[in-house]
Amino acid sequence: MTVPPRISDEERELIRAAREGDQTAFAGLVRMHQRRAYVVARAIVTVHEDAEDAVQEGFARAYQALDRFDVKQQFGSWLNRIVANAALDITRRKKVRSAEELTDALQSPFRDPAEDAELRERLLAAVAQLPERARSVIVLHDVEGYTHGEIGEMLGIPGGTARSDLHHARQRLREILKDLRG
Amino acid sequence: MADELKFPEPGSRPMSSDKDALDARLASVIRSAYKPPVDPAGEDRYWAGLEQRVMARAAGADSVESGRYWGVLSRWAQTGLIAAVALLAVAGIVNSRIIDTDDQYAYEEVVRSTSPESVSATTDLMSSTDAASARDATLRYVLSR
Repeated sequence: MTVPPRISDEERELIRAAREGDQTAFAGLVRMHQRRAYVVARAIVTVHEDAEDAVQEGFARAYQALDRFDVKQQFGSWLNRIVANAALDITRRKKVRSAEELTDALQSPFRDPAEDAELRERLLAAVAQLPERARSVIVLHDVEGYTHGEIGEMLGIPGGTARSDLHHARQRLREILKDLRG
Repeated sequence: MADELKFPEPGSRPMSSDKDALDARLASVIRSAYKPPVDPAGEDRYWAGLEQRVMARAAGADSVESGRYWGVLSRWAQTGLIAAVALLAVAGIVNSRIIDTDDQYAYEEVVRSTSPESVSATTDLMSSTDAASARDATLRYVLSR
């Protein structure tokens, strides 16, 4: 059976050119991966501005480390791990998530006005109370549909740890939601 | 572009089917709260803007990195220069000591080798004087006869 290539010809060509200093080629890689990078970052940092910052920082680090990328890997997975690390660095710098940020998240212009505002408020407040890894795992798995293995790869933890983190994160989220309802 | 070819759009993957998973409505609320902004002028406009910022950051990081590279080189050059000057100074001191020692040896050698000669010269001189005196004495003796 032929194993499908982990990286497309187009992507490989862009990587090769970007390694030689072709910024247009690197811009092609950015266009290809920035949406998923944003989702990964946002799952970790929750605030839009921080997610953008993590995406920019992640791509900048990837550009610097492009020579070390192994073409036998998936570029997307490699990049997501770097972006996730950049996002985790941001959350470490902003260890205490302020109530102001939570309010910003709730007032985000991206919400659907048709949704129940109270439910959204409670849910987002509950998600924001989760520790960063629990929040990342729950958003990446239950919201974005990534597998435990993919999440583990992004966050630098074994897939089994991602699975048990998810279980505990769901329990914790339910407890917080119960408290908020009470 | 190829984002859609290789990977599903964020949020479009099949959701977890395990019974422990978050309620679909809750997942939908989180997804809508966390989704990227939509530019009124078109979704692609936001991503084009983010791409530009990413490229500016990458280019900035690149120049900072090369600046750091030259900075490291410059620090090494400074260290090398200081080490070279110190080495030259030490070499100069050692060399001058070696020359001094050679001079001393040469001086002592000269003094040692010339002293017997001077003594012998003196002896010769005295001998020749004695010979002359003897000759004079002999001459005087012969004449007195």
